[in-house]
Amino acid sequence: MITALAFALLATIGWGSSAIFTRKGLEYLPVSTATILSIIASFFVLVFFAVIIYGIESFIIPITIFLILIFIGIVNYPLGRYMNFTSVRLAGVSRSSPLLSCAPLVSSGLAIIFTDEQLNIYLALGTLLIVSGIILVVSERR
Amino acid sequence: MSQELFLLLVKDDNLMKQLFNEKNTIILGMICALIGGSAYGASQFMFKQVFEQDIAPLVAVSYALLTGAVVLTLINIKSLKRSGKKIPKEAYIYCMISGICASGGLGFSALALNIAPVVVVSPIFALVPLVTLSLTVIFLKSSDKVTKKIWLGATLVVIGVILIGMGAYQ
Repeated sequence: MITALAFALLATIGWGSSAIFTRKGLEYLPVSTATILSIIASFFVLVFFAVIIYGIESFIIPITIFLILIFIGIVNYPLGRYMNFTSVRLAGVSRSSPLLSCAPLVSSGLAIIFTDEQLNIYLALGTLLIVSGIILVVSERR
Repeated sequence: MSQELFLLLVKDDNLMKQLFNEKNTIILGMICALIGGSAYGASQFMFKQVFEQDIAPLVAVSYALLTGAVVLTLINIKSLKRSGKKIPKEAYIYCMISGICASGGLGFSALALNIAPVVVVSPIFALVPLVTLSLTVIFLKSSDKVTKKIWLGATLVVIGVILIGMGAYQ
C-alpha cells in the first residue's frame, strides 16, 4: 500500500511540476511550439511505460477503438493542452492550475447525462465546492 | 500564430489596445483554462469508456498523444517553419521536461492504480493544484503571485474533486 501511495504522490508531483516547466518554456517559445514539444516528449515516455507495464502486444487494438482514440486525441491535446498552455502564458500558473482542475466536474456531468451514473450527495457537494473555488480564483484580479 | 495576430492588432488598432490590456489578458487566460479543463474532462469521460473495452490505459493515451502531436503539427506547420527568432535552447528543454513530467505523472498513476484501489489513490491525485501552487511559490516567485484567495479557491477545488471521486464510487 505504501508503494502505491508513493507512486500516487510521484504522479502528483509530476503533474504539478509540469506546469512550472511549461511556464519557464513559454517565456521564450510560442504556445504552439511548446505544446507540440511537450506532447512529443509525453508520447515517448508513455510508450516506454506502456511497453514495460503491459508489453508491446498491448498496442494491437481494434480499429473502432483506434478511431475513437483519434477523436479523444484531438479533444485532449490540440484543444485541452493547447488551451492549458495558453492559459499559463496569459493568466499564469497560479490562476490556471485550479481552473484546469474543473475536469472531474465535466467528466462526471457527462457520465450523468450519457451513462447510468446517478447524482448523489457527494457529487452535488463536490460540484458546489469546485464552482465556489473557481469563483474565488476568477474573482482574484491582483 | 495567435500571439502574432494579437501583436498586430495591438499595434494597429487603439481599440484593440484597450481591449487587450493586462486585466483582460488575465480574463482571457482564465477562460482558456476553463475551456482546457472542460476538454480534459470530456476526454476523461471518453477515455473511461475506452478503458471499459479492456484497452490498457497507457496504450490508449499513447495513441491519443500521437494523434494530438500529428494534428497540432499539421495545423501549425507554417508558423513552425517561419520562426526566425532566436530562442534559447533552455526553452525547448523546459517544454520537453514539461511533457516528460506530465506523462511521468500518468505513468506513476497507472502504476499506483495497478497495486491499490482507486478510492485510496485518487484523493492524492486531486492534490495537484495545491502541489502546483506550492511549486509556484518556490520556483516562480518573481513572475507568479499566489494570493490567499487563490490558495482558498484551489483548496475548495481539491476538496470538491475528492468528493466527486468518492461520489463516483458510491
